Amino acid sequence: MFATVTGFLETIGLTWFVPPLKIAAGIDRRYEARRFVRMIGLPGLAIGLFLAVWWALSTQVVIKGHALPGPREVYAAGGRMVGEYQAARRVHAEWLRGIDEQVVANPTMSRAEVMALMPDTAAPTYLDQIGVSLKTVFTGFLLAAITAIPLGILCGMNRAIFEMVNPFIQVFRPVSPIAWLPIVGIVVSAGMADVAANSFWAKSYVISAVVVCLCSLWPILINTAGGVANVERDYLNVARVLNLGWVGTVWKVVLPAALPQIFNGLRLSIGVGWMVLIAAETLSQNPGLGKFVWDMYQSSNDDTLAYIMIAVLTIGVIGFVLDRMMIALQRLVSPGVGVQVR
Amino acid sequence: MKFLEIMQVSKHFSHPTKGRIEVLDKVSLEMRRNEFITIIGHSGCGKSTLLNMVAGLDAPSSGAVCFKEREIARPGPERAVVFQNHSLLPWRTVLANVMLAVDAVFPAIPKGERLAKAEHWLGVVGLKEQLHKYPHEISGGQKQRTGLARALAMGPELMLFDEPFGALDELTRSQLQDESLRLHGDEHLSVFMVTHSVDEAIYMSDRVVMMNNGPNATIGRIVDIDFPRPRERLKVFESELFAHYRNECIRFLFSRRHGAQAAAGLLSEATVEPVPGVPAPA
Amino acid sequence: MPLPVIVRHPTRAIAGLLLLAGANASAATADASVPASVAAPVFVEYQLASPKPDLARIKAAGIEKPVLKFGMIKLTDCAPLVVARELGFFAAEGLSVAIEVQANWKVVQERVVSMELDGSHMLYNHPIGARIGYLGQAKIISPFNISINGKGITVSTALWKAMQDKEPGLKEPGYALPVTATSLKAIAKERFAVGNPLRFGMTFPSGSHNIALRYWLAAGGVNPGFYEGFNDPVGKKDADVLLSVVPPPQMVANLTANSIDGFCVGEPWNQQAVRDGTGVAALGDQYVFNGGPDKIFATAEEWADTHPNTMVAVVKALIRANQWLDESTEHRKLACEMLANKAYIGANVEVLAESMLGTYQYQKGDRREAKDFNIFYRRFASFPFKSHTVWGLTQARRWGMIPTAMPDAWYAEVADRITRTDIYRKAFALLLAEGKVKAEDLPADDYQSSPAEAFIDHIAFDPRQPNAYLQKFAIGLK
Ligand SMILES: Nc1ncnc2c1ncn2[C@@H]1O[C@H](COP(=O)(O)OP(=O)(O)O)[C@@H](O)[C@H]1O
Ligand SMILES: [Mg+2]
Repeated sequence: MFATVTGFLETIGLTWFVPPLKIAAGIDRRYEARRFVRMIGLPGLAIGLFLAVWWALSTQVVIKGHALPGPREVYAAGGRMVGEYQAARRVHAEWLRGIDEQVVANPTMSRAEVMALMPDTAAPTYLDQIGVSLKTVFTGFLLAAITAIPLGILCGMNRAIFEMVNPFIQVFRPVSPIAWLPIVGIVVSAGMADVAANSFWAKSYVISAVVVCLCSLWPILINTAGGVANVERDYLNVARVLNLGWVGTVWKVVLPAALPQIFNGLRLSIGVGWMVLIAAETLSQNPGLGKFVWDMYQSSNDDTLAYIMIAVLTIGVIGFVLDRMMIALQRLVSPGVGVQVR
Repeated sequence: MKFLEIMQVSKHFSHPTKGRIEVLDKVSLEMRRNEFITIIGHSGCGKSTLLNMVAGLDAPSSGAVCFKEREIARPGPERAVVFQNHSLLPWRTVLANVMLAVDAVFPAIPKGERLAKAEHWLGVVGLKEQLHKYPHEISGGQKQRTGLARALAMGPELMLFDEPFGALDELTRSQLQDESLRLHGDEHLSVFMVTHSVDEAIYMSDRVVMMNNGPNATIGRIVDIDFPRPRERLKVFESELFAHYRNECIRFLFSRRHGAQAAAGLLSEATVEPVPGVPAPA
Repeated sequence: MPLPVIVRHPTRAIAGLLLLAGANASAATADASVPASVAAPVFVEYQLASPKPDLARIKAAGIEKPVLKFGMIKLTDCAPLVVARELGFFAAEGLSVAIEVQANWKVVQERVVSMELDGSHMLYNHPIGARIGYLGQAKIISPFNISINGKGITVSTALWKAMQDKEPGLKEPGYALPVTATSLKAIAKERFAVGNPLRFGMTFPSGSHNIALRYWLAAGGVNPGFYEGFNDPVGKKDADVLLSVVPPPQMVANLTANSIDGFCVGEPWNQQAVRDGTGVAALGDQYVFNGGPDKIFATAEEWADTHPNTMVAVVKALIRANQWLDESTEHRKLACEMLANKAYIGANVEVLAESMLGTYQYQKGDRREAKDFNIFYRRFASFPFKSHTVWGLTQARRWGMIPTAMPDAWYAEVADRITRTDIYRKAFALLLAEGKVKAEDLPADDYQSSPAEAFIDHIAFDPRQPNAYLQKFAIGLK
């Protein structure tokens, strides 16, 4: 049981938690203690140094008469955001009470009808914005994966197809999301002319997701094609001797063999997608973290920079967690294949 | 009906920098059902190339390979291959690797029976306890046994071994050789094996086919091995006949090698003394 | 610094910080020569409301779409939308309204036209540019005028010094307003000669800030340059100075970096520059064209046509919001507190209060009364006069966005299409019947003439004769 827990933690990349657990349980104390120092002590020291340098800089750098927010100011702004969140929850609770009242006052209407007539129109909270960003990045990422993996397999299996697709990869891969945005905006707007404006498929959401998809397509495509092309000849020969056929070969041999590299591509791609999303959101009005940064930037508040720094930290931490998730998935799907955590 | 015929087979490859590589030149060979023949020759002379053409993984540039009087066009489970580096799929367990073969070859029989079949063959090669281990969790010998079980599970008429024991240590290697011989007897197998070990070739086969060096390699000489079957390792290895065969082979291989390096003709075939009971090269 | 306290009682901490901010502001006020009547108030933290819509109204008024999303730009004159939501004026009409901050004016226009936004806080000349096809054709209408006046023109401290040298009167404390652009004429010439022309920022080519800035410059004899037709976004033909588009939040940064010498924009950006000490607010546009149009509430024409009853309900709520805003200083103060919430503008409340409470800081410490800076309801400010649109059209012709002279009848026709006084009058009549407004607050005529003294260059405007009006400008196409 204990081994299962620590093993799971190691698998999903949360190795930091293993040494304290093991030390507490009295397993390999010396070794785990050294591991603990290496994994937590050294990064901790570096973070401490970073905070110190940041603090020192914040007392020196003055922008337009305001000091650069230091760690304390950012921490305080974080506390205020918690307060704002609590206030937003109170408003939400009040809205729910309003629904109850209206349900009583209008006996002819069902609760669902009342809710449809008076939805919560409060501005999204920070958590809502994080949720929107995650939803958007996953949509774009899934779009990219379901396009790029099949195409990558075709490219890897067939040299001719690869030669046809390769110029597009080379030309489109370096294009920045900012350049895609206007084109995607126009195309999506034209394509969505008939879709109700504030349905689930909000235009800004679709545009951001498509831009994420366009930028995160390439790592998946390149890695899938590479993984498939480099499947060991012997594995393919096994498939040929067994007369597995094209579909059987792809499904039973090529895909599993290329999986570690496909996941490598997926991992790179979600990192790219997350970065791209923040840029896309600032311009496409998708109400996620990117828009939060832009809105704060437009506020001319004394705390603007502190709030933006909180957003930067949030974006970084979420990016890190997404990366860990991909590593964990990669390890789960391809046991026995070393995964570089870097 | 003729079992396996290799008729006037030549093979060349095109290489982007080295140009055309002439590997085999008009190789002809026949093999009977239940025979165990071994191809031996220096590294790079074209042994695997020949085996691949028998497997159907590669096609001759000219000439033909016929199996049961039909030209081989593509690979098939009736000609199962045991590859040099086991080539087990690392994401499948031992059992799942064998099941891959059983499922592909016998799609019509019920799942339970297929499973029983796979377990049977793994039992035959002594892997009853390792069914659910992954390839990276078992030893090199066990991997090769799994490869063997996978090939056997295809129910082949001809087994093709490409240096299957090359990467194993001496003891494991001997064990697997003995087991392969036992299987050859018990299951009435026909085996076409490639090796670079003279001892292995003599100990295991009915005929040792020696190739001279490429480019344009041909069959240099064929030695019939007259040990009775089943063979006993110690008896065979301690016999004088074994030493004789061994000498025969080494002398051929050495001279061929030398001949290839010398400007040609210095050591002609005539300098190799014919041995009684061994037919001279065609 | 008691950090844990902030974490445990964040709301209390916010209130505390706002109190501190208020105290700082009052300290600043004490230094300045300010009338006692405008002592800085103490602000409290505003908690967002959860207005309860009157669902019975939806059926009674035949509301086609009770759930709406409106756009706003972070400028103090978005206040009517915010007030109508927070005080439940929308809810009283059965409407549930979400207000979403937009990145810039271009985005606002695109999303109004595509109807992703049901309506938005907009510049009065958005529908004009879109209707005449300047930089793209689209049909936008306005049934409601959000505000009159409300823009400021700020120059960098360096340019201010140069202006003082040309016009020593500006060195006197309490110099007379308005500051004209006359002193810029020579400076512009000098700068042009050395290949480093004066540069000004504005927010949008077919935008009110561009027009106000051009009017002020031209009134001082400085040619701001002509546009060469519908597809010219730059407009620098014959220019003495260079004008370029800068998003409002980047105005101050650009001024600090010396990439522009001045700008025209709404609040809080002028006050921000003054507060940071990077610029001097030369004047508010109540000195350029007192009573001139500024922001409107606008929707796509298709939206208005397909949601006639909803449109009236929205205008009813907005009229009440504007009326409330101009009722008292207390109301304005509460509005500032609402706007300071991060869901809306999120700026420091005392910066928002500068212009909204009837004072204006021209230089650090030089705070003066400015009652007319933002007007929402007085002087028929919320009525969508067709003359506003005609005036906007005359300026579009004057600066060449309209490439050829058009007959007077054309001006009236375009104004009829854009400016939907019929909707406003319908909404007002309903409110009158409900006893919520007074009859004298509705003008009889859709057209309003402006006397010479309303303008910095003393040229009277008769909306019935736009071509005759255009003839009177020394600088400008006829
Ligand atoms: N696909 C190929 N393309 C080019 N050359 C090849 C290819 N396969 C084998 N060869 C060449 O053919 C020769 C014989 O190879 P092989 O049959 O593998 O030798 P071995 O006797 O060691 O098994 C070698 O020189 C090798 O380089
Ligand atoms: Mg070989």
